[in-house]
Amino acid sequence: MSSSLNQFMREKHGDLLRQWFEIAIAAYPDEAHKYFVKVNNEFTNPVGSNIYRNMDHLLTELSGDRDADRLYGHLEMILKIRAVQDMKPSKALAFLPSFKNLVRTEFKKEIQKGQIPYSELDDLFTDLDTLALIAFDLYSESKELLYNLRIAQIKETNDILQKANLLNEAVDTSTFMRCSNYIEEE
Amino acid sequence: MAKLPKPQELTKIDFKPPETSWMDTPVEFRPGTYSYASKPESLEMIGFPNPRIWSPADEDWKLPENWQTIILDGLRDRLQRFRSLKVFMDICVRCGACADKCHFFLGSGDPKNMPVLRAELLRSVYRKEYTLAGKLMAKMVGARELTLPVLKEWFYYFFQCTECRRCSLFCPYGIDTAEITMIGRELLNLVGLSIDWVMGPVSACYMKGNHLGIQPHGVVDSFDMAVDDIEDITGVRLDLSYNRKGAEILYVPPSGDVFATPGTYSLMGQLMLFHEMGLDYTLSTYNSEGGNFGLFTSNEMMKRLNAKIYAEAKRLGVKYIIGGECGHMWRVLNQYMDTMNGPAPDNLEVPKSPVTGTVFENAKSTKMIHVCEFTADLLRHNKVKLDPSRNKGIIATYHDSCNPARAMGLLDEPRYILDHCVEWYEMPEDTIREKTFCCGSGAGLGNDENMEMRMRGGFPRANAVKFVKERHNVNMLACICAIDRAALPPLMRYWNPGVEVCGVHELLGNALVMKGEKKREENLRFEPLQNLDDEEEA
Ligand code: SF4
Ligand code: SF4
Repeated sequence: MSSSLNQFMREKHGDLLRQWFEIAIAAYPDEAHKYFVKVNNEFTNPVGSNIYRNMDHLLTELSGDRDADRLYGHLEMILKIRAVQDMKPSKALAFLPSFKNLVRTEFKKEIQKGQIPYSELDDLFTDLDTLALIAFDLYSESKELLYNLRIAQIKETNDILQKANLLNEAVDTSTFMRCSNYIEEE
Repeated sequence: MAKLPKPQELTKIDFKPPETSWMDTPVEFRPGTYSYASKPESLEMIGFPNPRIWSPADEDWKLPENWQTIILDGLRDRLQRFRSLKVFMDICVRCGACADKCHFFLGSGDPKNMPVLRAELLRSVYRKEYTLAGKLMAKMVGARELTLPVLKEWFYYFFQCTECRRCSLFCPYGIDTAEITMIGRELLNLVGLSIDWVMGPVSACYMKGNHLGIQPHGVVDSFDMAVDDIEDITGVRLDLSYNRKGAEILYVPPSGDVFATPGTYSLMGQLMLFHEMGLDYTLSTYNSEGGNFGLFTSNEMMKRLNAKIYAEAKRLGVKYIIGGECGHMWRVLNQYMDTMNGPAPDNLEVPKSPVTGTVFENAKSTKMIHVCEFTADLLRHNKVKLDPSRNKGIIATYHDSCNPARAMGLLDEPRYILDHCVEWYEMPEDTIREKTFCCGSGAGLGNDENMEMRMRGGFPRANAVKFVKERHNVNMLACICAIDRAALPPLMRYWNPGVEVCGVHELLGNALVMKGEKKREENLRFEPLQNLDDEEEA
């Protein structure tokens, strides 16, 4: 997609990515910051490097073709990570709508001067809204998978015990409930 | 009217609550991130204190009135008994070298999962109670009193450490945070604080010899099933013996491999190999578990559970012991058994392979060898006939299970076995051998309720698997630990769908050419062999 906004975004790729990534990792405690920014350590800093790499690709896509499949692919890992990190969806996804503000601030002059037409901004913002919705799907799918893995494990254990005729003895659901109070609360 | 926050503000809300220091921030027990409490029956069974029904999420933990005194006395006692603990309490210079080495920190960013701060949970109380500076200027030197919120924090974070020891590898002083966790858990146990997934197996093992509490006839049933399956696949009928006095070798597997897939496939591989080599060995229905969750409980409990191995070896009069593909079992055997329950009974001798004549001098004192050592030695002497083409279609990588890798240096033997059986690729350097990343579910944390935490802690491992999956189409993650074989399948299903998990002896079993076997058409999972097409074409 060739537009003046995309052109500007491509020129400022590095700047935008740096700021955007900062917004994303602001979700983590301050103490983690200095470790998570070491984005070249692909294997010893998996969270920081994966988020950075995928945001880099997302940005390339956003300032280019905005191919749906590729955008989806780059979002997937980020949301998978966040779904297991004690993060509410609002926080896990906030980096997407935040990008609008980043663009508004970064290209304030160009927008005021009309070098970036309003329609192009509107297009980008609409796409970001869609991405946020897709990201929410991805986040919920990961959560669902987590619960399914849980159920699978309970089932596997029960199968083993059933085979050994130990079901009533080993899975004492009454104490299971009492000692968890998780099920009661839910 | 409250105004909606801007998205970029949302990103900061609630992860950065009030700017309190780590010392004053209380923990929140959110479902998915902690393990359920131990059941009273389990504690009663082994005579542990304060059996009751409680939950970590409760306000009231139903502690004994004098819980502080009990713990502080317990700490004082252990400082006197274990010199290493005293040293670990005093010498940390907070250099931070260990900070980003823990998989739980790397997966979460939670500073209290930095090993240095995990240890500081205990150290801060130690300072307050046992150092002059701590008594006089608590805040300045990072000392604090043992209050209920502090105790809750101990519970939360000591049961968020898999005792994997990766951090200790990077500490210039050799401080072993896993040992601090072990002492932390031991102290918590003094007032009845532990988790079901540790105490359930401990009490079951104590009474019935294995983690699930399966009785001797159930153990035999499971082995029989393996024998039937082997016969279906190979046409060869194995003749196992149980509790046979006078056998040369006692074989002790982790019970996970006897009862649960994919461990059972690896067990089958081992039994097939033993048969093929004509090994004079026996299985014990009483000592049906090599694993030892006492390691995750207390020194005394670990010793009590471990004692049965030598006791059974003595009763049966065997010459030495072979242990199966288990992780933490080997930490106990290699590092503690000799001191705890040694010297080995007189009937035991230095292990000597009846097939190759190799004497395993490394096991001179314990008289117990790892099955991978045994197998690698056979391969080295060309004693095993293999047809690796039966593993066609499997592209493997190898996960160094923490304990065999870091606690006993068993790095090359499993690789040597893989070299002979299958096409396989190493994961990146910083994530293998001594530096291996934990599965995230060890030390009793592999329960279902803790799933979110496990996926978080296992991410560094899974991320490295992802790399070889993308680069080499890896579809099998081999390991030599029964906990891994339970923990890695969900980890792979979450992060790397399509990657299966196996023990190295499963791959060996697939490739093993047995005397009198029928034409093999299926692998040990009853899946059709992929090399058959080639044969037909030929
Ligand atoms: S590496 Fe060792 S000395 Fe440095 S902070 Fe960690 S435990 Fe302390
Ligand atoms: S032993 Fe393992 S889990 Fe525990 S603090 Fe060290 S690296 Fe983390």
